[in-house]
Amino acid sequence: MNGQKHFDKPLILDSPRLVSKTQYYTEWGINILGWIAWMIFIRPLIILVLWYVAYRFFNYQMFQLEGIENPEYFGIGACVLIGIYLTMLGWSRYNAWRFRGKDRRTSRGEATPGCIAEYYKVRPEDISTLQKSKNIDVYFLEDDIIEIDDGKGIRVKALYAPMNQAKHHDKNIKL
Amino acid sequence: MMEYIYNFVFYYPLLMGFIWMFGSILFRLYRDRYVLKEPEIPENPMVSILVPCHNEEECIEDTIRYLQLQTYRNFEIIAIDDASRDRTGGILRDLQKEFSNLRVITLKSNQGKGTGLTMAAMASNGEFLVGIDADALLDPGAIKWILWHFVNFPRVGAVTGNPKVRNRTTLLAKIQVGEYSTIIGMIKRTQRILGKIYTVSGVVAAFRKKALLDVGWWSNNMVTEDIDVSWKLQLDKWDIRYEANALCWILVPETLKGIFKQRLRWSQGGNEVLIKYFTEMLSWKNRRIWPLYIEYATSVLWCYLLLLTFLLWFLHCLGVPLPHNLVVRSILPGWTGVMLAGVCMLQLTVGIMFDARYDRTLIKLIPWMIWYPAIYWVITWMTTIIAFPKALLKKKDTLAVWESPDRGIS
Repeated sequence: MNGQKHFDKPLILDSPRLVSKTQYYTEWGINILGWIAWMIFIRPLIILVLWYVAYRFFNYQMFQLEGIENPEYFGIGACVLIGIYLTMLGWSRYNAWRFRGKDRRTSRGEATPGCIAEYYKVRPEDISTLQKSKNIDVYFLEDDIIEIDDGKGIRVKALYAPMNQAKHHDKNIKL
Repeated sequence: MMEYIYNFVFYYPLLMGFIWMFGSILFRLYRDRYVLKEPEIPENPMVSILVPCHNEEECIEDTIRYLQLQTYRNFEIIAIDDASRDRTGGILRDLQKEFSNLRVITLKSNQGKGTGLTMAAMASNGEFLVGIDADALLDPGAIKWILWHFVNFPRVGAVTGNPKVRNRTTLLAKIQVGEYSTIIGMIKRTQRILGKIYTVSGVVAAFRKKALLDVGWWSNNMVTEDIDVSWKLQLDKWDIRYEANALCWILVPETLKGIFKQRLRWSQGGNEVLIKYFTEMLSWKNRRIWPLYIEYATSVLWCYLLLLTFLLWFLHCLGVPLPHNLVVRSILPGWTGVMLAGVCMLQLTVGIMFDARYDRTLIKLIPWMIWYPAIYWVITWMTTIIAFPKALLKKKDTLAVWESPDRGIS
């Protein structure tokens, strides 16, 4: 009791609030630098220890437990993998041999302004005009219709129905 | 019962890891070029580069300026301003004063990437269209590498390039450098060897305009228009190629939230395609795309069975009485974990070995890539679980509009 009367402060003094922020972060920084330096110095040792742990773990799991107790398992596994590799190699070489030099899939031509115009239900000239425009504004109207403005007074209405492709291929639809 | 499920959960990624490795080796042997010299394109056809933008004021100028460095010179740029609310439109108009090959299409209401690309294709002068994202830098030689496929093979409908990660500040970004080089690159190489490609990379993909016209352009209701258009083209008997030399420098998310959102979108897109083309898969004439469909469907199944395994283990831990054949006593991998980790490292080595010839800088990031399974398996697993019901319940006529993605801190 007497002791408490003469010494009423905490025995351990730790009041971080009294330290300025600069000092606080500087000290932390120095501390971290120290740890980094220490880690760098003992890195070879850490690596040695990790290799040793890995060896022990590998040894325990593969040799002392069930892993190596089933040598046929690894044999089967190796056969399966060789089989997969040979199948993939065979398939790749078979296709190369089967289709080499054969013009099996011929060109379907190009997407001309005429084809594109037919798809969007506009005139081929409209597509050609758009292809020359530097700036184009596109407005999305109701009922799968878009309006394209080339900024020079030309406004074209076109069909845009990505969720109803049949409309694009319907020759009766005209805008 | 649980033994079969547990075996499937373990063997499936192991098996696929080997398939991706074997495919990459075969690609290197039979499809890759040994000389990294840009091909000459004597025909010199017009190419239209399409750049869809939505609130891209921070990056669009760099993208357009970088495009001017292309070694192939006969091209136009069509920037599609999809109702941006920021300064994107103004920046594009300023750039037009400097670059005569820049054209701008402004969509007056937000319609999404698919519609934006379709509008640009309609007004384009080139028969060959190269689509890149507004924050992506197309490598100067990319167009020549891509064009070589189109001019030499008339039924190549699309060519997908090789995305490379630009931002590498944070651990999450470094991991993705490895992921793009190993997992994504290896899958594309294997699929190319086997004949069909699951998807072009939306960030850098080129198309033949006639092929797009034949399949009705891009869809506007699919959250990933790139996956959908890849399937549409291949089902219409157009060929898709992967060109590893056509590099495109991209920005990846550097927050977990950003990555999660991106992967959720990818997963949902894949699942939407899975559902949309189910009936097409019943036709014998589409048999060559069956392996792709089965592989994706199996991956989805794997995700749910892994979830089931976790749930049964959790119930067992809680002391819930379960039938004997459904009890999962431990999910901690023993020797199976050693093997999975080993295959994972082997896959990483093979991926880097093949991809480092295009980008030497990725070699110094190897120590960070140890974490990539965490990204690829855990996040992909979680997003697939969420995405499948989302895709299943989605209304077909919902417009797939977009928002600017997380582009990292750099």
